[in-house]
Amino acid sequence: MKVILCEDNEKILEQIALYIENYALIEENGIEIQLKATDPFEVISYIQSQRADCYFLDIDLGSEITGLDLAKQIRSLDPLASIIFITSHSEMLRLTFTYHVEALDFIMKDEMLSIKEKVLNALKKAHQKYNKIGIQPELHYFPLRHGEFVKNIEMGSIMFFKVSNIAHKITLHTTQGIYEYYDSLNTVEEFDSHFFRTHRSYVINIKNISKFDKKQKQVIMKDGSICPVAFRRVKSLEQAIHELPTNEP
Amino acid sequence: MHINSTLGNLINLPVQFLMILVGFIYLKNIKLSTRQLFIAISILFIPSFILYQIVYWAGTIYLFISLMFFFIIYTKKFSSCIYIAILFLIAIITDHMATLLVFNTAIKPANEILQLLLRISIFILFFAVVVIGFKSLRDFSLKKVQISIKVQSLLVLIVFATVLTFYYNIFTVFQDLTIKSLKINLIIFSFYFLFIFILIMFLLSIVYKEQKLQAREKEYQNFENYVSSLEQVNRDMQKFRHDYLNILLSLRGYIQDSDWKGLSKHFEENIVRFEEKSFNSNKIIGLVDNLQIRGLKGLLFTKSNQAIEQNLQISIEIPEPIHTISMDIIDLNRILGILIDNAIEGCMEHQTKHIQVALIQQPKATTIVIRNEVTPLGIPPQKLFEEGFTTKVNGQGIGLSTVRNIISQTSNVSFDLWFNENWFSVELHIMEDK
Repeated sequence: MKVILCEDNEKILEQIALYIENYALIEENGIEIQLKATDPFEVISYIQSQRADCYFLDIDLGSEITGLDLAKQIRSLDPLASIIFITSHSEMLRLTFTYHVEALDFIMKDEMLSIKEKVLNALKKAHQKYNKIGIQPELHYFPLRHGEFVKNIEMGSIMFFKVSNIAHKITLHTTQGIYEYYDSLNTVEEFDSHFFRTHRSYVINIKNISKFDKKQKQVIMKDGSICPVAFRRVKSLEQAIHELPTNEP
Repeated sequence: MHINSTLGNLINLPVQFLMILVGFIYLKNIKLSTRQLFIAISILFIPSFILYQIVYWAGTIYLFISLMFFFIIYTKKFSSCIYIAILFLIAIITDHMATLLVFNTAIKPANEILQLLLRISIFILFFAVVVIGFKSLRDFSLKKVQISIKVQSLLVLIVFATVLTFYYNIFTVFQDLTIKSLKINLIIFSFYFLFIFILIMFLLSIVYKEQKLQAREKEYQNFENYVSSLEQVNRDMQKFRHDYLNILLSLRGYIQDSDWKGLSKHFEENIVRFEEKSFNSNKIIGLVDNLQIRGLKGLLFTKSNQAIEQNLQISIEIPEPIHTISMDIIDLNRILGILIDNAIEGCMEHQTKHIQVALIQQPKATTIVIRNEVTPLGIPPQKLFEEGFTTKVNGQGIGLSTVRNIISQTSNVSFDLWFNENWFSVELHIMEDK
């Protein structure tokens, strides 16, 4: 895993680099620091040609661009990289950074005593994520768009989609929560083979059906919610459920 | 010519019954299963139909009362009887109008069955138009006005009095059911209906204005709160400036004696702690600084102070200046107030400490995030969602139904809520109006 550091305070920069290098030396897990920069533009010119997997960025870089701007640029080039912010309490905008660039973690530099532990924790988190990237296919997630922000919803947690009373608004029910966004059921239906249109206003995830009540023409999902099935969809739904085990990987 | 022939009844009564049933289902947005429909027909309609043939008024009264009971039991809501009463009113008036139109205009067909069919189709048309109009009016006023129990009972009283009057009227003139008496009836009914309608609208608009005023007052109070805190911070600053020479001098004592331990103790205990007191409200003032919407600023400030009073840690992030949000500010105030209250209650209940709020501007939207820490597996999420919108589950569901109600009527706002690890998050997305 390639790591890039950017911090305008040279002392802190060297300190963090030392922690990471020592850790990599002991664990021998292929973590290496690619670049240590005090100037964000060094990082920008570096990422034009090469990539890293993990970035530690100071927020206040004493430059005309901030760590957040830098992170946004990195994100636009590499959506999967781990970004960890080094910050002080007063500049801390946890939610904002998480929303804008999906920050992985934050390290408080005004808590000098625990900084080593924090750096290593963040590094381990990034390394875990790095190892996972190759294994999990991206289609495992359903991307939910709110303007610029994208939420990745785990496919296994999806119960059903329902049209709301306002045009183009869809409500998604999962085991974790309820989400509203703007789309059409037709696009939803096409996204995955396990999404099945049971009704004019419902698309369900057939993997999460707990019971199909043919008499009442409804399905009961694993979370207990009930979705209606249109008369002319009963047969094809039955068939889809029947075919399900063979579809399993 | 006799309008209420047996044949007429045979077709007309089921149609009216069905229209009232369908009207109710449409108004309350519910679904009836085949079994329930069967019950409705066998217990409600058939007895009333038979009664109607024997003693006409008994049939109607039976239908009216049994329908009310049926739907109160089915929907578990007392308000169902108002809807039934209103639907009866609409049915009476539109039926009269249809009858009059067919018998009193040039389109009068010679054949009696054709007449009947025409009358029924006109009735269905009128009825549908009035019910649809009524629904959109109701949705509009529900969104804008919260009707108190007092006003609600007043409305019930008016509606019931009206139904009674109308029926009494019908029964007394039933003996000579001619076109002329129908005409007079229609005129009386229409005027009365119009009168009641205007009265109710007037009532609602007064309630609406009153609520708007209250909301403004609350907004003003919140803002005043904010301003007085600003003044307090200013006073603290002046006091600090006055004191700080003394503070420096107190440090000198420790330095001269090279008492480093004592110095650090003094610094932590006296200086830092003294600062922390004014620091908290100072911090929030700094945080909401980017929010240029006065009413909202006051609300966030007041709610944060409430959270701090409960010993919670609240952070508010507004990274860029926000001048406008494309949403009715009173609605937004109500929603945010409810959501932050919920977050505070959630923290108290789960004995957690952190609340995070963020208002993030995107190029064409504003995202508002409110989340509070929860103990993992506190509540199975689905349970909260099932009941949270209708009843109060451990405090979390309070007001969520109001939030959902407002948002479901606003086309450019959507909201998400979910549990993940240790957080319960609510997100509002407000799209810019095109």
